[in-house]
Amino acid sequence: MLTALRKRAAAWLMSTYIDADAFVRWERGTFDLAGFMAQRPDEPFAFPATVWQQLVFGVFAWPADRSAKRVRYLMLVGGLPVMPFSRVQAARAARLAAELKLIQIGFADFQIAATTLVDEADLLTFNREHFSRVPGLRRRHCGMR
Amino acid sequence: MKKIPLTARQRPTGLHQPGKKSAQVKRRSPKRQTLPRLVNQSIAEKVVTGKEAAALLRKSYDLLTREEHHQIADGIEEARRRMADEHLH
Repeated sequence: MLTALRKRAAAWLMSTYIDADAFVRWERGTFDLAGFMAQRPDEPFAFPATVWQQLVFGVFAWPADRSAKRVRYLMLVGGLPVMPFSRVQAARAARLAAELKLIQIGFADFQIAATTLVDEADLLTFNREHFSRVPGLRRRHCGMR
Repeated sequence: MKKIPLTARQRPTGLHQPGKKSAQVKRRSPKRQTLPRLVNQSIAEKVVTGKEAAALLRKSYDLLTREEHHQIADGIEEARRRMADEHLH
């Protein structure tokens, strides 16, 4: 019954998860992430937990005297949901790593792909090299779907 | 097989509100939205739609200078490089 509910949940909430490279492009001004979102006003958006880890890395790496303003900025961006990486996602990531064998995409991208697959979401990414290798993963970026 | 009815009664407010909002967006009943959220364990996270997310990003973008945005991008890319070096073997 829980499995059935989970499948139905995915059908109701067609979420788009944001990969770090899409956010990097937004920060560099080479991709209008806000515009992409605005064109899909009713769709839920979220970060996978692993991407959130990559986003806040700098907060701890920057010197304290210059990090306060950036922490406030990331706190605001953190208004977007962060989807958990837990037991189910961990098992899926391990399975993906085993299935892809020699085709390695990196620890983080396995986690991001697993989170997206478990939640049956789409992944907004420009990283075709890695994520095109993941079977069943639905990718999105400007001009796609 | 024995079937046990699953009810959404007496759900906490924090769980109900995101489901209600999502239900409005998807034009479905809040009850039908809430149950799957329980299963997905995303109780604490509220649904943020594209319209809301876009407004949030645009509002927060003005807090920093262009140079600071580039520095944030540099930090994220450094984190990605470090994590990309980790492989499951």
